Amino acid sequence: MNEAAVVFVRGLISFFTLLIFARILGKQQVSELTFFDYILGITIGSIAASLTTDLSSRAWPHWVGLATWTAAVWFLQWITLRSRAVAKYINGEPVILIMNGQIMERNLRKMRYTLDELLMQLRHQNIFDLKTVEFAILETNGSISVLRKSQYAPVTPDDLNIPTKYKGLSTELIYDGRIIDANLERVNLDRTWLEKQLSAQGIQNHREVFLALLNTEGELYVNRYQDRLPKVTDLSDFQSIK
Amino acid sequence: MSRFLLAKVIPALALALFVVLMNSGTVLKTYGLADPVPPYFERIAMLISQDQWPVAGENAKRLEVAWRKVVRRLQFSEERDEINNFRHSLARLQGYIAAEDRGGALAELKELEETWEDLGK
Repeated sequence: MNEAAVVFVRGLISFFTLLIFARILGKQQVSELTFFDYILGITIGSIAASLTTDLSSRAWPHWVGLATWTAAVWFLQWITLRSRAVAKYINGEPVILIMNGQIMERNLRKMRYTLDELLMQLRHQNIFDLKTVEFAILETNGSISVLRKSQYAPVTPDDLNIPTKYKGLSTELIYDGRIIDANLERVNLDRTWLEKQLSAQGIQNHREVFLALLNTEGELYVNRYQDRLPKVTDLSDFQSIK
Repeated sequence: MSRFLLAKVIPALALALFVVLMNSGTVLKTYGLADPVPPYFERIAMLISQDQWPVAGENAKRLEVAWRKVVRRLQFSEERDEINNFRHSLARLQGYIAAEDRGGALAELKELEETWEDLGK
């Protein structure tokens, strides 16, 4: 028995199974995970690790374990989308930690959230004075959402009655030296227009371009492979460390 | 490559392939082998009961060769401990045959048969 070969094959099975199962479970970001989701992720990962390296048992039972946990998570996701009550039980509910500048100590204790953690989270949001906070809410994923008191909220163009132009998503027209014709068509433009625009920026061939984006105001952003900077700032000080 | 092929067909085929590979032991332990393992159990038991020790020893060696060929196929689906148990049991059987110990040899042979039956379950 060649143990390394077996681990290699089981590793491939485990890796691609995990990849496929993760795709089935969706695109939830790590920052949006609840504590329970986090534990589920660790457990599934641990089963996948056993599937790879635990040669004292067959691969199949581990794989069934992996599939069972994935199916259970998928079922929970399915049921939480359909039942608000179940979703609240599984994911928990947001809790108010600060109200009108006052810290809700009971809620802090209930959520096992320390004052230091609360202050740190507020500082992350550029809040250094508690009296500026109308509401601070502990979300189910452990992050804090803050609503400032209206007198301390930043001024927006709307407050000053300043008209603004619409801003939407930019469209990729060139990526990695290749023109994306489907996107050009979507914005009712063609290659001739694009080539004219590039030529106006001194670019003779679209293959010189790494990325070209068209924003909703009709402006073309072009990034070439060859950067035209006199000197590129290097943040690394690795060489100076002795 | 179409999105359907990439997102549905290839993952489904990959999962199906993994399931087949992980459960292939039952089929692969006998399928298409020129020198299958199971007939050796009966043959060696008969030779031992007839006290034909040198022939039984030769058959035990041939069983080892046949087992080595099978294990290459089974290693990806079976437990390492079961594979090792079979190997150790086979070594003990050869020892008992060399010592012409009928009780020990038959006991090891029975254990080999039992381990063999368990493979792929």
